[in-house]
Amino acid sequence: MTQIYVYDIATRSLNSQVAQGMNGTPGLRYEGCSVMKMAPDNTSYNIYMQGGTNDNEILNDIWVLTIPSFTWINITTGI
Amino acid sequence: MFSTGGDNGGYETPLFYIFDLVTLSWTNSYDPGGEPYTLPAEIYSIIGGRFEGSNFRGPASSTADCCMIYSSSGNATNKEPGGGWSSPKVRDIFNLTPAPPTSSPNGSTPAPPTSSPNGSTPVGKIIGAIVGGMLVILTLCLLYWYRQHSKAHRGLHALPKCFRIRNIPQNWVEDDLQDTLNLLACDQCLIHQLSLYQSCYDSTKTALLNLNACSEHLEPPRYLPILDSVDNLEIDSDFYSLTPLNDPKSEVVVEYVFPAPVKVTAYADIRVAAVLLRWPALPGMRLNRGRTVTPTKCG
Repeated sequence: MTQIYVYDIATRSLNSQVAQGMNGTPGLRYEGCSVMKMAPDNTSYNIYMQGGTNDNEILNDIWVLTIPSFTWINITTGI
Repeated sequence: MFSTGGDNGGYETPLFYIFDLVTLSWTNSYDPGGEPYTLPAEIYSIIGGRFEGSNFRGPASSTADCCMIYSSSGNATNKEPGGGWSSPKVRDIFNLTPAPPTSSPNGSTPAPPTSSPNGSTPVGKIIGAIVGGMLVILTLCLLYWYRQHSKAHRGLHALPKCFRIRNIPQNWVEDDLQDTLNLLACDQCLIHQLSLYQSCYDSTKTALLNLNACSEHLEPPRYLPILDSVDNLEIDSDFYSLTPLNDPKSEVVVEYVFPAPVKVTAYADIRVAAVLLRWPALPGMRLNRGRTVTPTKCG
């Protein structure tokens, strides 16, 4: 999931950006659970994504896409 | 992050889960009056930012050992994609730098001073101007010399500053670290005191050190890329938020200092590490030798 689409509501235009991963990147999926939190000083915006499915399996991994560095971070955690 | 319902492949589940975005763990309770969001170390160690203290998060009944976490309020330094921006448009969306100042709408140049109608030049004024100008130049030279002198003086007598360096490859010894600092940071970065430890949380080493000079070249956060490892050397001096080595507001009594691993216990590690024997005199720190030290094994 390295192709990230960015919709600019100001100019109503769709753009894409390539993201990279520190420990790989998440596979394609749908129906994940996600939420965004920004750093208190607004220097980063972090989209947390958990689970979802890719039609072959139910996923239970958790990733963070941190913006504007567009880096995927695999959150390894005891679930 | 709240997760409820969903399909686990066989049937739809009615369960309700909460994922803590700071401790990065599943939890079964939610405190609406809890601490505001801060960045977990897993994120700020990659995008940059200062460690700003450890928060206690977790049920009141648990011990501090399990629930000290490191977090940051931001100060990200890595604000561009690793592979560069895919298009100038996306860059412009996220590069919210202020627009360059537009050129002055008033293009007119100031009027040149009108020449004196009086052609005669008084000698007294000329001599006064020359003497005055020389005095000004002399004063500037003196100020410059004084500043340079006091800067050099300060440099010689500056207190050594303590740093922590993590992700040091297992096979490194002091000379490797010294060579790397000379190569990547400053060729005058001479290690004054050093302690190299086996890291508690992975197969790297952690160093505590201070420098004779050039401390400013290591001002954290710094991430030095090295050949031997995929991880950058990570330099900080923030561990002193537990033991304020660098800028003690008052006398600080520190029993033991230990490079606390991320997301593992802070005070527990300080308590058990027998660093006292190996690191006897950090600036601004008074070691309390009255307590018995009980080292425990890593992990």
